[in-house]
Amino acid sequence: MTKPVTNHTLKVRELEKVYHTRMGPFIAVNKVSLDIADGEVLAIVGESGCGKSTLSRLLIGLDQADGGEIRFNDRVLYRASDAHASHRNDGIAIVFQDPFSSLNPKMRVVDLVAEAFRPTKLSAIKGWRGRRVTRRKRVVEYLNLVGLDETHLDRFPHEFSGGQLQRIALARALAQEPGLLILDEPTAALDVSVQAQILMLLKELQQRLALSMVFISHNLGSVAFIADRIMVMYLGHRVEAGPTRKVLDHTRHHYTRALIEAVPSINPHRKRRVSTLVPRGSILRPASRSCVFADRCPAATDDCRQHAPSFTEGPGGHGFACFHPLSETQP
Amino acid sequence: MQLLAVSALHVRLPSIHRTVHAVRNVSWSLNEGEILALVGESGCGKTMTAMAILGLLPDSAQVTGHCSWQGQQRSVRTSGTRDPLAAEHAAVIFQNPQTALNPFFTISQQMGDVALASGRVTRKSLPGVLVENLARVQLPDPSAVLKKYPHQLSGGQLQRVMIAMALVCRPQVLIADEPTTALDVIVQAEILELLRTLALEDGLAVLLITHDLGVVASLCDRVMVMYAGEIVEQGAVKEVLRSPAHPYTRKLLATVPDIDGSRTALEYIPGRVPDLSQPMHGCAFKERCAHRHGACDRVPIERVLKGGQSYRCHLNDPYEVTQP
Amino acid sequence: MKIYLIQRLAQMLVILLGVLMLTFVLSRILPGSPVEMMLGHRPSPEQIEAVRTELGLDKPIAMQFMVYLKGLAQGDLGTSLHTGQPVTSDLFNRFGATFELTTIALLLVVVMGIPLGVVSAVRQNTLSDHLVRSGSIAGMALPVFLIAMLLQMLFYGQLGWFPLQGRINAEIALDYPFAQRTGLYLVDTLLAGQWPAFKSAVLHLVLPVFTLVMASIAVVTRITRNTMVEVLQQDHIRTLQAYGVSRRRIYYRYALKATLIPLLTVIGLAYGYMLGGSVVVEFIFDWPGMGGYAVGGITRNDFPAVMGVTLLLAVIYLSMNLVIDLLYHLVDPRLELP
Repeated sequence: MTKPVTNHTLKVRELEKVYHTRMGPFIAVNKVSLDIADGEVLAIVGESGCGKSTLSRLLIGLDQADGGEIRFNDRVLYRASDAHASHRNDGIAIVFQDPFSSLNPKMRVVDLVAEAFRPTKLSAIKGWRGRRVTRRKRVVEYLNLVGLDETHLDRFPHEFSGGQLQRIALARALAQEPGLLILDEPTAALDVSVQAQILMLLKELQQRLALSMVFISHNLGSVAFIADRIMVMYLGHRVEAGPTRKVLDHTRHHYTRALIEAVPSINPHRKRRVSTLVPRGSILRPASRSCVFADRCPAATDDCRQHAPSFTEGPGGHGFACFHPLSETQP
Repeated sequence: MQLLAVSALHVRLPSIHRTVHAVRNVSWSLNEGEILALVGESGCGKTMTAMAILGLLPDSAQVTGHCSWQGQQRSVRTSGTRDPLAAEHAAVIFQNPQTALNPFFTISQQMGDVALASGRVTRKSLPGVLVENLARVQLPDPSAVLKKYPHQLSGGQLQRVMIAMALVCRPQVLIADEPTTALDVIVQAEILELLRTLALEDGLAVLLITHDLGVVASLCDRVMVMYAGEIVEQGAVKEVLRSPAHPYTRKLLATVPDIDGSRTALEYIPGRVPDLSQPMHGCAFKERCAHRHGACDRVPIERVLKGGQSYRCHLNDPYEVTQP
Repeated sequence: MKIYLIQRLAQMLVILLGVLMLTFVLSRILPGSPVEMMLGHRPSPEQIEAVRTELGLDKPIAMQFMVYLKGLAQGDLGTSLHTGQPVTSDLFNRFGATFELTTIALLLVVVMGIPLGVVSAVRQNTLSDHLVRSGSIAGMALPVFLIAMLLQMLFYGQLGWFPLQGRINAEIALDYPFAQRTGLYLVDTLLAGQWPAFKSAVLHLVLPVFTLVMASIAVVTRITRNTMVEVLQQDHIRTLQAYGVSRRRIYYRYALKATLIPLLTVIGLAYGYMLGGSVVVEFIFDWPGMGGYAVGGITRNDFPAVMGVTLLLAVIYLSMNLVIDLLYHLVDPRLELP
């Protein structure tokens, strides 16, 4: 499934984001690095609070990082040492989880999608009428891409179902002609059968337009279906990353395994094992020096509680941060 | 032993312009110690079915049908008043534990009020009962939990508190409405495990309302599949998931992407759910069904397969569906 | 907690200083001066100069302000140019009158407004809901002076139940004298054990209090109703209903506490508004309160009086704010004290 690495659309190095709370600083994203090749789909998985959504906000520039570097198509979007690096998200588009709240209910579909056009696109055309016609024509092109058509142009969001709304949101993102599309739990608010439609659509678009994507999800089933590579996050840290099948079938990190085992599968042959994790308290704050996962890990030793393992990458781009990884040759 | 039998349950939701028939003529039963799944997509009437028998629908809903709780017959209440007979036998937990508790009151205050309202607990025995039930849902340090406010607990802990709150009322039936949908996957596994333990060890019957077929597969004994206000298929989980008979169930199963990555394409169901305010002619699924034929304009009868699996479809051999 | 309070108090001091400075400078640089008022028609330049020196107006503004602050530190707010009394004692008398009036009105607004709002929310779109809503809106829509005069016409003119104006019947006050210890007549008459005087004070309070209540109950009722309607649809209310907790308990214990936060804000604002803005009511009922004193001070360029009123109102507003913030923390366990 993995493609030969040619050119990297996105390069992120040691990205950090710290929120200052009353209880002290909270590191939402802790020295996270990632690469996305042209036309590659990277899935970021993890439980709520793991920093996956914060990371997406940093990537599109909704939030300013506190350290590290983001390069996109050889353009520096953010660099810690460079206060002037302007973080414009040109070329990166995002689709949010809930289409009911991410689309303005008072705008027509045509205006919602056309919002994404850059002003230069239409200004070349002479005359108000010509611009209007071209604008509608272009919106229809994008609607066609996501399986809608010109009959939907003048309708309002409340006239659509959740799945259709997510298609509109997708059309709006595509209208920005992004080099990278970020999908933040795009199917979590949808019904199963609709979820399948959206996933199929995404896969088709990805193959047809050779889109690079960041697919944020907690649903490992969808991830297995769509992603080329997976990055697993736990409390702001990257704990495991690599090609999808490697991470899922030859899991090295104990947290990844716990995640996989917890997924209730419809496949009657896959028996879910009871999680061996130490239940966590309500406070998500690991001791500063230890491995982030040490207090819940079934394999944790004193070593893990005194030093944090660094993320090491093995052959095939499969990396993990653990002193006592699971054996590579597990079933 | 049969704890609950529901027959001919019908729910209408009248509004100014139209009347939606949200649940249409549904009959089912629940046995002791059984975990029964009620599966379907949003709007199929699965939550309505459960809330109707408890009398928890809004005042405007019109409900007809009968329920029998351990043999005690009664017609289902029409108005939005809680049915005392149902309340005696069943307790309910909801989808989002973070919002299901009042943020301004401690766990002990809220559980205490619920316990007293159930009439099963005296004021004197209250503290002991609360601690005992929190321990039953495997919450460490129950007396500390009692003093906390909801925001001081995690989602998983709160759902345990909700289950303990239900147990305080000593129900025979626990109705769980999407109890793990709002939770993370590892926490979900823990809560499902807890429900299984309660069913196995205490003989608690669970009606689990869910849209997640994975949850059904890993936890439940029996499953009912709902579509457009009707139960289209029911049977033992093993059989229904291995050899689904109704075209809708088959489609639903084929839409789920599995973690083993064996599916390179997902099926999906074309079209939309029929308008429930319009009269239904024949099969509710016919508009979206790949096997539609002339007979589908007539109401399908229920067909029973060996092993008790049953479905409502005109295809008399379910394997016709398998090999089109 | 301690640190938080100290921080807040320090903040208040800074704001107060700012308010004082602004008022002080404004009153000095705006046209018009107390000197003309005091000296009457066509004073000679020498006379003007003499008075200016006496009042300290010949010094630079910064200097004048320092002198004022020095006095303030010793509890001296200067002498009113109009009444000739120390501003502190004027304020004491006047503030007592306003405080008594507005506090009783506020208590009634809270005690009546909240249950009316709850009833209105619980019985949405029934007759009682419509009555409560239209009644409270009518009170808000009618100008205060109109309500006041209507009440006077009915209860004084027609029925003769209540006195027309004033704080107490002067004759009764003479016959049954009482010492002004708190400035609140109800308390003072009770302390002195003068029952007839107490009764007179109560009777005098009824109409102005009622006017204020009519004018401001709508805000509290509406906020209670609207917030309550929202809260009643929340999941935690459904949980309690599902377990058969009694309606009464759900409404007045669980739902009401969830509506308290916006309510507190509105009540605080209403109180501040009443304290500073009951001028019309005080005027119509000839109530010797702060409103009249402030207006008189402004029109007569009575600098010390204006400064005194400003200072007092600012202190009240700021402490009101602090009290409400502290109450938030008391009500909502999610807000932890820093």
